Amino acid sequence: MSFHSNLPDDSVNVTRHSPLADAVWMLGGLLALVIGLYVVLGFGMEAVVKKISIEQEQELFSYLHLDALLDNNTSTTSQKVQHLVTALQEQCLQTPYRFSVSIAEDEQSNAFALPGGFIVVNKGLLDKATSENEIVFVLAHEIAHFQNRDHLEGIGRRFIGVLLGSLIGFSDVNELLQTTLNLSENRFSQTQESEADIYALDLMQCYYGHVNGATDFFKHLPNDSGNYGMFATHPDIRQRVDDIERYSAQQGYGSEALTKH
Amino acid sequence: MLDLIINIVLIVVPIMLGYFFGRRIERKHYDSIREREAAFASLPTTVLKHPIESHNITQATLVSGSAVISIDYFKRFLAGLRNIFGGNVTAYESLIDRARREAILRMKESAQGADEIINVRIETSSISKNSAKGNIGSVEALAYGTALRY
Repeated sequence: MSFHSNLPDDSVNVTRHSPLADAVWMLGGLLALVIGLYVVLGFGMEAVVKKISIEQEQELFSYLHLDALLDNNTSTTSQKVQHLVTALQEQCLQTPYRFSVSIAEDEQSNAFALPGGFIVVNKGLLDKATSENEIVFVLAHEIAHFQNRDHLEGIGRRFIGVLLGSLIGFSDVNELLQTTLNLSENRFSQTQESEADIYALDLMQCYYGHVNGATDFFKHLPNDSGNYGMFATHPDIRQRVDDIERYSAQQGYGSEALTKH
Repeated sequence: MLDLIINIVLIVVPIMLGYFFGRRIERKHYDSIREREAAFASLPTTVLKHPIESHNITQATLVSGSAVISIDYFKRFLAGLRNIFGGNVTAYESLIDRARREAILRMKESAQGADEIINVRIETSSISKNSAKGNIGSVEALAYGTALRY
């Protein structure tokens, strides 16, 4: 036996192909698969949400005991707002919802629709409001979300996103996925916001007989919020104000003196 | 929106850094490995229990060399994707290859003056096992054998 010096074979143990191409293929395939699933499940979820009656919704979400988490309508402000909602409902709405208003100690001008008929209004919004009309517009906008079942769809979409994320499990890819889904989600909710604005205008017209003060709410939003084009949750503020004014003009909705709050 | 951008940056930047720096470091490491392998090519190194030719052995010493190589963010990302699809985890192949060859080279370097190294064994183990939970894993290769002097 004799020794022959030779160098290790460089070609067998390490696969020679671009890892970058590998990453692009796998990531692209995965995202396409998951987004496809998200869209399909999203449609299925929309169909299911439309079948959930308001009574079922109230029963389903009563298990969450949101009322225990929220402020219990004891302050005079929240009673006043609750009164507005009740009046609005009695005068202009046929719905089995028992809306319940809570005030959140938050200085941001905002309001939310939570499943089961809970409307959360931030204190900041009430403080900055110059008229009752302005508050009624926001309340009507949230009521529109309930009537259009947007709040359930929002929760459903979030749920599907988390579900798909947990299927993937792998943290980096999952984060990328959630970010992508957030973008599509925002695009989707822009349409809902515009529809809710129109619904709110109709309600205002019914309640006051005019729509003065509908756009006042937008004046109290900070200038930079919502200014991110297609990625923003609420369409560009200017765009929303323009749409509201155009719709009011089309419908011949008038403008009369504001009601004090 | 701002947090969205920060989110993307926080995911993409480490992966890109991992790709560029990892590639650079790997290429340099391979250059060094090939150069030293050529330099040590004349030292017989085998897995045999006995020397290749019979000699009068004057000295036998245990020699060992070990190397620890870390994965980078890009490799971890790629391997994570592989975990979903299955198949060869090619991202880690070069890691193991570098660790083993580096360990053998270090073993040879530690056998200064030897005429032959026999009975060489290589062992591999992973350091920080839960790389899936966000820790960066590394691989250790240990090469050991008996250095002989005639």
